[in-house]
Amino acid sequence: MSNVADQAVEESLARCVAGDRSAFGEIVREHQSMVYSLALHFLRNPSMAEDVAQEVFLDLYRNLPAIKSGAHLRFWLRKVACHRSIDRARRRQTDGMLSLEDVPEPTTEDPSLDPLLRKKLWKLVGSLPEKPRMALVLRYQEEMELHEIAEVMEIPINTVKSSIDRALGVLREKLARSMGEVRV
Amino acid sequence: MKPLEDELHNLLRRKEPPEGFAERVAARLATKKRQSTELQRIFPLFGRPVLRWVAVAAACAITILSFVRYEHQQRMRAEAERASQEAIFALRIANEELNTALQRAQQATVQALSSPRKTKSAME
Repeated sequence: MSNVADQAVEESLARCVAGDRSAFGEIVREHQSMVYSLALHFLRNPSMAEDVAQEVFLDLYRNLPAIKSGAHLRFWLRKVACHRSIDRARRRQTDGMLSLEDVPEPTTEDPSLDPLLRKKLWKLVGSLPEKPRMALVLRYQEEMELHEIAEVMEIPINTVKSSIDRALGVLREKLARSMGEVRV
Repeated sequence: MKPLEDELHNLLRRKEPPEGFAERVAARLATKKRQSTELQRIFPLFGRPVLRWVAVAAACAITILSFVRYEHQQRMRAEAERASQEAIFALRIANEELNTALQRAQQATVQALSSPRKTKSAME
C-alpha cells in the first residue's frame, strides 16, 4: 500500500480512536476485500467467510487503541483473519459440516482462465491441509513474502517455505494427472 | 513466473464481500454496544474500570478469607477430634482400673467368706 493510503488510514485510525464512528466505516471499507477474501479463499463458504470477516472487524474495534500505523493495521487484520479462519475450519470439521471440496467456487468469472482448469484448481486448493492452504492464500492473494507469512501464521519461515513448495508440487502433480493436456 | 503460479494469482484474487458489508459490521457493533450498555445498566459498577478492579480485589479478598476461615475450622475440628480421642482413651483406662479393683474386691470377699468355714471345720 502506498504511503498516501497509509497516511489516510492512520488519519482514520486517529479519528476512530477519538470516537468518530464514520472513520471506522472507512477503515472497514478500505480493508474489507482483503479480510473477506482471506476467509473466503480459505473456508470456501461465502456466508461463513462474511461472518468471520465481520468478527475480525468487531475485534479490531475493541483493539483500535493498540494499532499504531497503517502497516500495523494490515498485519493485525491478516493475522486475526488467518487465525479466525483456521479456528472456524476446525470447528466446522468437528461439527461435521459440508466438506471443503463440495463447496463451489465463488462466481466471479475471469475470462482469461480456462474454466475447467479453474474449477479443478479451486477443488485441489480446497483439498490441501489447513496450514499449506493458508500459506498459499497469503502468498498468492496477498503476495506476501515468506517471512511475512511466517509472522502472520506464527510458524517458522522454513515451515512456510516447505509447505508452499510441497503444496505447489501436489497441485502440479494432481493437475497433470487429471488434465494431462493442460500446461502446468 | 510459472503458469501454475499465474493461475493461483488469478484464482486467489481479492474479491469484494456482498453489498452492504460495512453496514452489517456497523449493525453488529451497535448490537454489541447495546448489549454491553444493558449489562452496565444491570451492573452499573462494572462500567468504570477502577470499580471493576475494586470488585475483582473484593472477590479475591472474599476467596482468601473464606479459605483462611475454612482452614481454621478444619484445624479446630481436628483438635476437637484429638481431644475426644484422648478422653475416650482416658475413660477406657479408668474403666480397666475399676474392673481390676472390682475383681480384687470380689476375690477378697470370696476369701473372707470361705476362711471362717475352714476354721470351723478344723475345730470340729
